[in-house]
Amino acid sequence: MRQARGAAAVALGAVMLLVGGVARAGGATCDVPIVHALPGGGATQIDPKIDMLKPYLSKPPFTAWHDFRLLDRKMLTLQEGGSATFMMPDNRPATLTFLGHTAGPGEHRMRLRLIIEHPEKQHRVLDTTFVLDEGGVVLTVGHRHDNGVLILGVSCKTQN
Amino acid sequence: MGKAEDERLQRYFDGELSPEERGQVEAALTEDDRLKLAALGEVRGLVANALAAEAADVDLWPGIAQKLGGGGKAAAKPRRRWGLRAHPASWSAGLVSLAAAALLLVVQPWHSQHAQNGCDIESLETTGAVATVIHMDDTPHRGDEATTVIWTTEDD
Repeated sequence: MRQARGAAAVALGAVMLLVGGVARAGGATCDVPIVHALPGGGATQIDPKIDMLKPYLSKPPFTAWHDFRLLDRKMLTLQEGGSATFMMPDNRPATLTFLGHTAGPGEHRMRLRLIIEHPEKQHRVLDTTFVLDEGGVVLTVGHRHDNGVLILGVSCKTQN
Repeated sequence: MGKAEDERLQRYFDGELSPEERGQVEAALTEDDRLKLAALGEVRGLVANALAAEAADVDLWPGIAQKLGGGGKAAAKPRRRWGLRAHPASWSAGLVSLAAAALLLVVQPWHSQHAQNGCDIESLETTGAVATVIHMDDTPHRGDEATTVIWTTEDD
């Protein structure tokens, strides 16, 4: 009887670990806001649609601009190893690839690759691979556009 | 000496007689009886020594504990080696604890629902631009992970 209880406890633990692993094995849903930062004047204006980015846009180095407008927002659903290409407002193609789930120190993390191309010069302005906490955000800044710059955010979660 | 007297002398030796009976035996002790009592005493001593020696041979724990540096305290508790067998339920308790630890590992309730922005750049290549990685203080969140900004400045 005692052996049966012990075996049941081990089986329960194994099942829970298995279920946890399977739950992490899905695809990714990525939110990619594309923000236009302009010099502006006076008080800083931040588009209410990008409130989630407000804490970052309100302090250096983003204080060089005072007007932040959401130009576009891509919601990408990516399977592991899958990619999605979308056009930036400056007509540059950007490709986001979900490379897979990974583990960090106490957090679930996701490995991603972002490529931004320059179609006229036929080269990749940016090609980066990074590991991001699930639900966290990474920002890429610097592509000039209409008297300002483009800010591209990437935030991904496991697809339910 | 008859059988009854021998049994009475044995009971005297074993301390089983009442004070009155003991007085009667002592009053009637012969030299032969005294020799028998001495012999019984020697046999009892030999048996006791033999049992103690046998027990010392079987119970190796005091020696092991001494080798391990357990000292006198470990030697004073030789029966501790049977603790696990004496409480087999501890196995089940251990396994249940293991299952609970596995559950905590999966659920991780100590982490808040608010995401952190921890980001490790594994590779970064640019063409016609210079890239700088900036780590911003993550004050709006829990503050234990910086927010990563990849800042590119394109060549003219």
